[in-house]
Amino acid sequence: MLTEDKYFQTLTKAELWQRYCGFLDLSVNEFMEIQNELLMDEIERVADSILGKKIMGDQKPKTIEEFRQRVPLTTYDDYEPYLSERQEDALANKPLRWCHSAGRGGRFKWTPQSSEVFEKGVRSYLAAFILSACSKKGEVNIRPGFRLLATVAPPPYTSGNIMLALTQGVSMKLMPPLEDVTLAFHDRIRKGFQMALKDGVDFIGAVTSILARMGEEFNDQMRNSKLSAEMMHPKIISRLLRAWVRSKRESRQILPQDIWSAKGIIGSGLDTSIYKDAVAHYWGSGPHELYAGTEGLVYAMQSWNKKGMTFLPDMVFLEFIPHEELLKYQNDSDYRPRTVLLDGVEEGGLYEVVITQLYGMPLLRYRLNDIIKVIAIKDDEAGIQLPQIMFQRRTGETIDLAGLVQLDEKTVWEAISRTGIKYVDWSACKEYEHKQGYLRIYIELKKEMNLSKIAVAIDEQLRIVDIDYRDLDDYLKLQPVKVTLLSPSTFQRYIDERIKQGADIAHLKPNHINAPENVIQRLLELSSIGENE
Amino acid sequence: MTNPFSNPSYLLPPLAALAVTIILLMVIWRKSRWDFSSRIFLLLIFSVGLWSFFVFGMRASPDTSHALPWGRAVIVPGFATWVFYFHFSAAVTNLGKQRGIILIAYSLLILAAILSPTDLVIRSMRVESYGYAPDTSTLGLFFFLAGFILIVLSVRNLLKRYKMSLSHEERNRLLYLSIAAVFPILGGGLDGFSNLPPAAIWTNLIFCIICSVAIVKYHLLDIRVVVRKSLAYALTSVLIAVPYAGMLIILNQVLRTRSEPWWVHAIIILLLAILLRPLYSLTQGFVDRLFYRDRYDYLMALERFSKETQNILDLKSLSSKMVELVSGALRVSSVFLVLSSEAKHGLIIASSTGVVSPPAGIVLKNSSPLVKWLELHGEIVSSEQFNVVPQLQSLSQKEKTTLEAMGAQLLVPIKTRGGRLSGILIIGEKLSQQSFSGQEMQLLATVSTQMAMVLENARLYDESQQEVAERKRAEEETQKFKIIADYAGYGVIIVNSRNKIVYVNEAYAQMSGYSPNELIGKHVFTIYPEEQKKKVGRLRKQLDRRGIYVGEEVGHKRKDGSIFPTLMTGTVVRDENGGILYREGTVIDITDRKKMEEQLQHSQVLASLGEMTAGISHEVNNPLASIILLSEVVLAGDMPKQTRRDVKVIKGEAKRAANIMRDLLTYSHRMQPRMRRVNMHGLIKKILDMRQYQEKVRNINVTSNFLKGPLYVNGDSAQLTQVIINLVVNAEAAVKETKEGKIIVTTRVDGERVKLSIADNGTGIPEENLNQIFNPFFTTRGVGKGTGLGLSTCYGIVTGHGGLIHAENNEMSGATFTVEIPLAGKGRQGILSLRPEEVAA
Repeated sequence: MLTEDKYFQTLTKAELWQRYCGFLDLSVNEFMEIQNELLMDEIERVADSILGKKIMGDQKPKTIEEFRQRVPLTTYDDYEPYLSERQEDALANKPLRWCHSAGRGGRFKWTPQSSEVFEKGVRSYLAAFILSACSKKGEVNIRPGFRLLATVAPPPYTSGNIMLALTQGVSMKLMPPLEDVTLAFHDRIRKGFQMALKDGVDFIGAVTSILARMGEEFNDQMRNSKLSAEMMHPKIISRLLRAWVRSKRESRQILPQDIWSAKGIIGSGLDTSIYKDAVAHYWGSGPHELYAGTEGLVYAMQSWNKKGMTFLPDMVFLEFIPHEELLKYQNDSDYRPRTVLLDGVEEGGLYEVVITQLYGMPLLRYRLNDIIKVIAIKDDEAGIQLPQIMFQRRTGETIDLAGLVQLDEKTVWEAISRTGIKYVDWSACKEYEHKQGYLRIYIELKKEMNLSKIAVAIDEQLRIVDIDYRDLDDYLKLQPVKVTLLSPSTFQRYIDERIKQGADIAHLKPNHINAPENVIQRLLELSSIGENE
Repeated sequence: MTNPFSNPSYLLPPLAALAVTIILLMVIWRKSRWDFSSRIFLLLIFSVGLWSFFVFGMRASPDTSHALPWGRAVIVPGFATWVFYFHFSAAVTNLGKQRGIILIAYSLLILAAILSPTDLVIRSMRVESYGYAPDTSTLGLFFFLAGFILIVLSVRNLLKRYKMSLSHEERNRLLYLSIAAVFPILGGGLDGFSNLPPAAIWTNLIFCIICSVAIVKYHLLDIRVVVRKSLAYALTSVLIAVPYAGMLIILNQVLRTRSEPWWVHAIIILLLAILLRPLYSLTQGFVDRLFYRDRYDYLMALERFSKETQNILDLKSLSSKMVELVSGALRVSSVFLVLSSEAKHGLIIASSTGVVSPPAGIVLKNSSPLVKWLELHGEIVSSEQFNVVPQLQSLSQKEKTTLEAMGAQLLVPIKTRGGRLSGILIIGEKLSQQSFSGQEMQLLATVSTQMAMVLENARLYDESQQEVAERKRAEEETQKFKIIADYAGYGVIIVNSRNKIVYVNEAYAQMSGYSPNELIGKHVFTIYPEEQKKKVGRLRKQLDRRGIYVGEEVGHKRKDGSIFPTLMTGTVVRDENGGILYREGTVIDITDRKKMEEQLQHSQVLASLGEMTAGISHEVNNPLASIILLSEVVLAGDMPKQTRRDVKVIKGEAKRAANIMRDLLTYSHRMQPRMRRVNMHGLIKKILDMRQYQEKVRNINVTSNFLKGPLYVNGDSAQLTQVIINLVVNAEAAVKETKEGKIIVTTRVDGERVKLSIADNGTGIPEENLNQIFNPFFTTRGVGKGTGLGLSTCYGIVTGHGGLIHAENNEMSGATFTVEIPLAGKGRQGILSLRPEEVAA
């Protein structure tokens, strides 16, 4: 019997809730006690390893304060070449698996993870499933055997490794199965949906913007898809028939929610808050947001009210660099930024997340380069006593305007979405004209629109979503947004070209913010090819 | 036979059942957790209520034609009850794979609802002796059978879950729900397959009540206890009833009466109650042993535990006995008793059973989340909770591995009355491989409370024994030291690890003014003044760290509160584990050395000043003499008025400079006094008379406390006059700002010295200046208001006379200057017999 199945069989619902979602009931002190205990255990484990000594020195810190004072903040380079060469001799414990990052930060990284981390990871993902499917505290609406439709990359990508651990920890049906690693990413998604059409779905795990786009394009796809022999399965026909009746009853087109009534949707990506309403509209339930990463598998998640995210106490040891310290560091690279712990964060504050891996893994005081915002110090509505956070951006992924405004991906994305413009994709960067810096947005539209209207609309929305931008706009009396339209299918051509080049999944699309100049150039070339056609 | 339709016993039961179901509905509505299973259970009770209502309708009908539709209607709630019961069992057990059966059951219910008005289920209604009875068709029997199957499946679900569950409360609840199902099966069987009066209405009611108890407050009663207790009482009743009946028969035979009056029964029962009391107790004991075997065993174990541990005070033996008793009572594979060790900051194994080599060292750190959890909640923790409670999920790998190696299944906290966790009882798995029952948990909880008390007593006893042993050892050791130390020329103090003085030698006793017995047992801080405690604490830390400190200057406090300076050297005596046994200090009183140092310092100042003064006086006095002389010559001649005034100033200043030179020579003993026999009283009175006017003008009251008669000293009368004038004038200046100035001049004899003190009620001398006032050129007056040589000159004169001069602040908040001059040899005899005589000046 699989480990988690055993818990579902032997524990009462209250105990199941406590096991998986009990972290939401912790006080800040209890949270810190868990963190401190695990950090001391981690120090004990890694102190004598090659990497442990490299980072901490020969003298093992005896207290948490000493650890924070003496051990420097680290980056991936501090662990090189041990990690990229996957030298297990340099580690304190033999890892269960090496996880491969998506390379969003500009480089691929290998990170080792122990069996204990995966055990906690499985427990945490099950917590996310439970929370995504419940509407109040104590409600456990899942049981082993659930069906999960997940659009994730296969192992050794972290997301694939997590799915692998999940399937090994709890009875579940993953669609598509991980065994189909030979299929291209798009084909894997297609196969997943085909399976879901037949077997139904309990949970969906995907990048939120993909789910929103799928919802948008669902009718077209339905219309264009041919009725193959596979589609003639009675289960599929009955499902489609039911969906048709539902849509007719509501006097609208068929939506994914008519076909699948998923208990919960797990959304990742910083676009989750932007697309939550669209996802709820198309899929019948809002996305439950996770803050996850290669180094710690999962750091935080929303509770059942789907508001702020709460950190998990036992995945990694958490420290936070306050924003003002980051600014000092940006001005002086020798400056050693001060960190605070979770009990020291303040409402409204921006912080860079620093983690120390636990359970004998090597990353110590490792800078994730993720910026989070503490939106509340607790959640009274859900009765959570821990700080509530949202993911803000990655460090460096901002566009600076006149030294006064820092526009990040989330802000630009939200502004574009709020205009209501139907677009395929976009990429933004800073450009100069007569020594004046401005925001240039390269965008591919679904329907043709007046260029100047787009720029005005985005400017208007940016003024709403970013106060600093509004002030800058008022002060400079110029509209710092310029838009370049890309011809239809430019982004698709770019992706096709990258696939042909053998690029990795994470590097198929251009970055939304500050894409390299050659990438922008290529987009423009591909756009002009499209125009000529 | 009476007509059943007019019989209340026929009509009332369904109404009563309806009333009870309504009450149950309300109770469940208010008290249950309102989850999915509770909602289905509400539907179940609602169906039973509807069932009762339709039965009432049927029974109240005047004839069979009216009764038939009611009888047919009963089919729907009747069948619905079993469908809901099955659905409820599936929801409450959460076993899965029940959807198919639920679907079929609900489909059958719909079918029953559709067919019930027709004669396909109930063909007709007939009248039996007890009332109406329906003629059931084959389809009706099918629904009946389907209902039975659903009950059986429900019970199967509940029992399956019962086997899996580790929670005692949940198991108890599931047992209730399963046993409840027996009643409707019984009622249904009687109604369906016999000609007996209808019983289902009653059995359904019992079913609902039991289920409701299980849902609303399933831990209200332990079902096994209920069953066993009922049987026990039944047996006891039989045992009493038999002799009672026998006595009645005998009485009948003897008295030959057909019926006995009521008082006969009363007397018999009373007699039985008295006579059979011992029998009752025996029966009760037998029933207890027979039916509460496990509980009986536990009670015995508890009793044994109390008996066998109460007289053991040795911690080791006690731990061993406890572990043995718990292991025997619960029949478990292993038991460990881990106790808190302050020195090691964690819990270590004090005793164990069932393992060959128990883990050495710390089992759990004091900072362990498990220890904190047990301390905070004080409840037994099972190993399953390590995977449930978030705080316990974060146990360190080392502790997890240790606990796994120990086979820990239960961790029972042992808490003192003050709430401190003194230990943990770690229980391994049961030899029978079964889970622990509620009674076993209760036994452990009770035992742990007793353990805490017994352990605390043992610990206190152990501590006191240790203290006695330590004291004895200390006494032996001290005896050795005492012999040597008592004859040492310096003070010796020995302090134990708890900072209590265990020894001081005679030398220290003399220094401090305490007797050794007054200090032994006191805290070491008794002998230090407040301001020295910080320094002493620092030295103690240094001593503990380095084992020694040498020659540290430390102030000690005498019994009278005065402080004396000492030079201390400290050493430490340790036990074999490096723990501190004693701290030892040797003390040298350096009061005299300090004084000598001060005098030496002063002498050096004087010597150097004298040398300098002598050197320059010749060089300065000659020109000064020339200036004075020539000034007088010039003044003798004619000159303008202004020039004359200027020359007079030159002459005056030159004289002043010459006086300063003379004072300096006096201070540095370069002006030799012309010694002769001088009456101090005469000198003082003369000076006071001289100052009388000034003092009156300034409203200063001068009081003289003189000894009677003359007071002769050997001295230079001019120089002594200078001293007294200086001190009186200073006192007058000090009381200048005071409303009612007061100067008290006192003379007395102390040994071979005359002591003259001049006290005022002025502002006194700041503490920091007391040591400097006799230094030359030291003045607190403003520039030009004094040379700063007055008191230093006095000092020079007095010490030149072989005397002393010192100053201190007095109770009148002013200052007192005391001059001590050796008495002149001749007058000493008479003076000693003199008594003070107050003379107002």
